[in-house]
Amino acid sequence: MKREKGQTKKNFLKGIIQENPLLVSILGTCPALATTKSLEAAIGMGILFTIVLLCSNVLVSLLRKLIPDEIRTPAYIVIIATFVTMVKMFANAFLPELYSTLGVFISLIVVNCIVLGRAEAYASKNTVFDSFIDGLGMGVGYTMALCIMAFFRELIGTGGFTFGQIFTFIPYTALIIPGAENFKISVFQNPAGAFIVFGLILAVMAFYKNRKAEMKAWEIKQAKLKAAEDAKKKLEAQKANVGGQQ
Amino acid sequence: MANTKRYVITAITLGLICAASGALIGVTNAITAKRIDQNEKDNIQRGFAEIYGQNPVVSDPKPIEGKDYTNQVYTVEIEGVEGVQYAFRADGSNMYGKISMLVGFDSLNQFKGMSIIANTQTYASTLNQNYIDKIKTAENKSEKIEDVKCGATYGATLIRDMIHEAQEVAKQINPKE
Repeated sequence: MKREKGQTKKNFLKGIIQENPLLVSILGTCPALATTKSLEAAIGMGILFTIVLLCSNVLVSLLRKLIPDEIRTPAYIVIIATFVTMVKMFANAFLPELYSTLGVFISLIVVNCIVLGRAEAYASKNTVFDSFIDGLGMGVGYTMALCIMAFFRELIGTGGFTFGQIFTFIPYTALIIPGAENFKISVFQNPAGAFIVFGLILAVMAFYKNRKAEMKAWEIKQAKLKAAEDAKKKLEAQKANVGGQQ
Repeated sequence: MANTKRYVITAITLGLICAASGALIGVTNAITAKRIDQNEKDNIQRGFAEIYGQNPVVSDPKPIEGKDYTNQVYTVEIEGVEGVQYAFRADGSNMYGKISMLVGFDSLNQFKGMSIIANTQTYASTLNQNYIDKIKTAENKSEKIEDVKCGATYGATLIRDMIHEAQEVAKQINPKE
């Protein structure tokens, strides 16, 4: 099958912007609210999530012609649960701080709507390569959204950023913004703060989306007006021509 | 007949997927099990250092049957400190997840400190911040244990009950009255 030019890029980018799972589709909000206390935890969650999404998308796409329709959903859940268990074991063994920070939210990736949704809506109908790119785009998009939330929550809640507490292989670094410590608002480190930040980000997204739609509508209206004006001018010119001949 | 064939194929497919999943998890377990065990041992060592200070001499754990949570006892000796001290491992769970911890007492069965080995509570960070860390830094730790209203009250209550049970067991093992 011939591929359209730029289709891969489009497929990848849609998960980041147009169909961002967290900020546009509002899926996977529970771990997003719970694991975005710090930028490091958000990055960790995003990486684990992306690995699960990539692996499950690829395997579901590989087996799409072999899995009978009747057991599609249970088969996908078994596949996803397997990858989540593996990721959890690896995290426990090699990144114990990340494992203990994320706790139950690693296991909860099994019931994350995004993973099952992509398996059902995309991977089961597309090629392995396309499913891989889709998983990568969605994973990166979700990770970015988590990082945006964590950035504001950690900055406003603690007055800076700390690195090296979860990913212990990097040296411990505390970036305290000068003066910000005096203005920190600890509620942003609590679940209520997560809701506030999430709500504000969604509001900004909605504002830009609406503005874009308004701009498009205005452009269409302008084009229509111009066309009407042109048609009117043309008609007047025709009338003038007819009058001159008479 | 056609239906039977379909059922068989469906069952075999699901069976094969489950078998492959089991095999994958088995392989992952073989790779990670040793490392996970080592991590837990390191955690326990860190826990003793946190409760008793640097280099306590800790015995191997002995199984013990507490009422609900306490399941292992360690004897701890510290250079320059008279008497044997006891520490306990306690594992408990509630609807929000599991907690495993070490609870240490001095030779007079007074609560000395605690260290969390594993905490899978959904409110783990709130529990750490608003309860566990406050106990660790408190002057009067025993008093702070009772103050469970912290935003993760169920988890804090579980920890409090685990400490109380361990203290009861300590009194039975090491009667001072």
